[in-house]
Amino acid sequence: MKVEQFEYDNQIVRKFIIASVVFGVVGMLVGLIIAIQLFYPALNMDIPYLTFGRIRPLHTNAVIFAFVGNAMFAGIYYSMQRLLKTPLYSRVLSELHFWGWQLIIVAAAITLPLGYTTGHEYAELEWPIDIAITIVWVIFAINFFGTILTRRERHLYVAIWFYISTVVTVAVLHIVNSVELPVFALKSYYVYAGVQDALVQWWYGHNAVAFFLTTSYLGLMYYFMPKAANRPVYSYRLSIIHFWALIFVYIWAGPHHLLYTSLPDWAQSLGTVFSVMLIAPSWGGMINGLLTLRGAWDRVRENPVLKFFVVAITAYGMATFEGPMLSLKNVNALSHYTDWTIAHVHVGGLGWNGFLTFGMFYWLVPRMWNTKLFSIKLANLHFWLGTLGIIFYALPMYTSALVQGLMLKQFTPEGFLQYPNFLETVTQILPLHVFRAVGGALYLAGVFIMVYNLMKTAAQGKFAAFERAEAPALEKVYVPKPNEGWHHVLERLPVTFTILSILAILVGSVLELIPTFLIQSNVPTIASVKPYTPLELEGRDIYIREGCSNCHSQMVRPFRSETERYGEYSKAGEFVYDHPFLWGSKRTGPDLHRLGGKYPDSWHYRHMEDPTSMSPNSIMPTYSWLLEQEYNKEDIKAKITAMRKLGVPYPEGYEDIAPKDMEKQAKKIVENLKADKIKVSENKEIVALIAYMQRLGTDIKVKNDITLNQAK
Amino acid sequence: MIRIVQNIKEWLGRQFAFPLQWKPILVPLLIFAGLISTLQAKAQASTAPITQIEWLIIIVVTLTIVVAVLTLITALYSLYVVQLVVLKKSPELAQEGMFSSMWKAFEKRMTRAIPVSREHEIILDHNYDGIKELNNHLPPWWVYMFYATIAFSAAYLFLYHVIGFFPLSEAEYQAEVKQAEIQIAEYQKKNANSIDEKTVKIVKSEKELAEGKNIYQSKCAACHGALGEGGVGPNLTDEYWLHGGSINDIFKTIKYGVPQKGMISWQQQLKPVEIQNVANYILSLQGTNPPNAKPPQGQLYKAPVATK
Repeated sequence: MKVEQFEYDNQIVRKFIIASVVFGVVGMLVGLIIAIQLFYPALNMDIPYLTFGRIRPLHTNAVIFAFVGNAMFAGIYYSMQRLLKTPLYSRVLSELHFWGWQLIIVAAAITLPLGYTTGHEYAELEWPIDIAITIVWVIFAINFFGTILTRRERHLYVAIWFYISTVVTVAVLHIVNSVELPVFALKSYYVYAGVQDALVQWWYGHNAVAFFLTTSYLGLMYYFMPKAANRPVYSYRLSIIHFWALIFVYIWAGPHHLLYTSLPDWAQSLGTVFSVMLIAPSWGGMINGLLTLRGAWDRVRENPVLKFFVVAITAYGMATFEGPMLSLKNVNALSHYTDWTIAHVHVGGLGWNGFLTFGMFYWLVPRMWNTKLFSIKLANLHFWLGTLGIIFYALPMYTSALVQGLMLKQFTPEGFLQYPNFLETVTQILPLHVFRAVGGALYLAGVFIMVYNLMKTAAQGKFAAFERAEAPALEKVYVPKPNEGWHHVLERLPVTFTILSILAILVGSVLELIPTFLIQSNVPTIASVKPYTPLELEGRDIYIREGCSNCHSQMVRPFRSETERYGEYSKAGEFVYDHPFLWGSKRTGPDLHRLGGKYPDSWHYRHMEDPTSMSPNSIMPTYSWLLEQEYNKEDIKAKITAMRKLGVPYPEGYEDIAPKDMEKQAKKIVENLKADKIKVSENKEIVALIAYMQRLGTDIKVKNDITLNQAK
Repeated sequence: MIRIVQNIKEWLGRQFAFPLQWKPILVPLLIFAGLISTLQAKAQASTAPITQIEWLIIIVVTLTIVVAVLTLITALYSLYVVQLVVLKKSPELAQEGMFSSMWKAFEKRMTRAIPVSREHEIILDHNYDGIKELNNHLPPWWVYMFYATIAFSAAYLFLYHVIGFFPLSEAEYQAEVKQAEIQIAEYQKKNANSIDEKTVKIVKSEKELAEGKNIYQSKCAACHGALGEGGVGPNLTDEYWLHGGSINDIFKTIKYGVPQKGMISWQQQLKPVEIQNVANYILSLQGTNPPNAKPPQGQLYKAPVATK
């Protein structure tokens, strides 16, 4: 057996670490800003680019794809070279991967505040960036599998299994969820509509958590935990069972985001039961992580890396137990649309992803720079600030969720809603939002301390871009040991392994998505539901651009407390022309699905100009620019054509008449406003937005003569 | 007394000195307890109907908790008593702790973990960048939990979708509404609080007008102006009315709204007596001539002299 010499690439790891830290700080800072905006709306300084609706996606994208994403690439590239005893497959591909990913992040940071968004949560980036993501992911995949195929270690370690599931599943999720029809350079419509679009989005959204934030990090845990603890992994058997169970079960659970919505009941139930069945597979990772510390618990006291890992894994255990509980219908009825979901994801995000990342960096940086950590004291300070930050974040949010959830469901004995005005419930929880921001600030303060500590560590050390290593080459012919376990066989067949994991994640996907698309009865059609008029369509695009669905749902659930408050509950057939669906996932403000016809046009005009004039104490920001900016009448032609291609029944050639129709409808609104002493010209964006809002949810009302539904 | 408390504390401390790895599992259990109390909070908070299923859940959960707590207390107490007896008879046995040994046996059965000292027996010859793997059993408690969730799921799908024991979303909603209607009807029978557009009266007492003013300021002023001068909605201080100026008409307009004009219906938000008060307050604004008044709209209405 010839021993071969080669070099591990540490400089690509360094790059990803730096990018992760930088974007992590930025992403969390944006998070803090929007947290403060929720009780101090003026913080956006009346700049459109800084409104909550536009920069909340910036926060989520930055922390998920830039902070965690870069950390994950750093960890994968560091560990896989060593686990496979080989350098990365291609330095060029590594560089392309790094710079391509950063370019995507920069593109996101520019386009999201500018209002270029598809409207799908955690997939807001517009189609050219979607294509770029696909390309960069493919580059990563080639580099990743190339490295596996050129390995010097016969068998794949459990960390690599988890990486494989991440690489393939994220690709599937991203591609399926990004099937858009481009209209302009930075504008597209999803091919899916309404219920189907919702299911695709939450199949994606949930599994982005599963396969971007969870499986990849479990892989990292399986490498860095035993390394840092210097202990053997607790149970190989458990690794096998929980890996396959996890990836098979996880993919089904998406519909739990859509309980009590217009999604067919059977799909909702699948979402619930697969979430419940997910507890054990998830906890398998927690057990293996924590029990690896058997015999080394004393070291947790001295070693900040282990401290971070222990809290990370505990947070993972808590979040993966809480998730299934939130998937139970009666819990979800209360928790959904409230701060509970936000608290839940932050226990996962700040605890699991954040702390595992920090622990990993505290372990990696001293090693890569050949030195000791600059200050263990500062790392401990970071640990405590972070832990307190998580607690101060989560507890107020749980409280506010309970307070608001219960208030919204409260009836008086006379049968009235106790708090008919949604705003009353919002003002009630604002103090808790202040506490939450304090928690977030503590956490961020800890991160700044880490940045300082890591920089000092790097400064005192000496970085080696490449690390020499040696290992015997793989023999061409492998003679298996007698009674080699079946899974151990699989571990030396990476291609088969990959195919099997693709199959595991495809079963649930196919069984949930395909019937929803093909079976007619899942979305019963409603004859009176008609396509949007051109002006309404334009208004809808403004609604999407401003990110209204970040705070307002368009989904009245079948509860008495909601039908009393908003009107008839939403039906699947009402959304058939909604490309994309805009159901939202959080109600910072009230639901808007039955908004149409509720208020006069002038109410909306004044409300957009200054929400507090119509709803005193409202925390909605002002949208005065909608009163100034003009929409482009010519754009509608391309939009109508695109919608027709997607199956919206606009007659052939309608795009040429559309601008005229737009004018007609706009004139009516302008006249209505004039009657209430408001002067505005037809081509202002506010007119289109009013048209859209007045249309919302009106199609199924029998008396269909309300103000603005005269579209022809 | 203090000594006894200390003794118990010490003893408990000894019994519950679990291996550290159990603590992370306790935390989620606490969360679960929190979830259950949520359900109860929900039950307490809503005076409105609780569906039968919710009752069922609440009763079952409450009973389970009560029984569990009682059992725990009894068990701990009897163990403590036994311990005291044993302590007198054979001190060395007490050292080990009876509960502790029972717990250990239970733990052993539930985890089947090979102790660290015998680790070499189950270490695999895997070596990935220095990482070794043990081949511990799947923890039986974990396996049982997995089975339990699978059984739960099968039962869930069976009960909801095969035999329809539990209602699906729409049926559940219909039941909720029906239940509420019954309750409201009962309540109204008991409390004669039924003013409507036919029986609404002119009231002039300060207290009622003040209540009307309060409601007006919080609900109406945004559109009709703080002084009734009009804005998004029409002027309420002149003698011209779009939908009639009698107390009955005003009551009706407030109650049902005029949706096509943007006046929303208030009957879901205001009690009949509140609508009466605010309608009377609006009438009291007649002829106040506030600044910036909106020009008159609608028909002239002169109140009959008797009620003016």
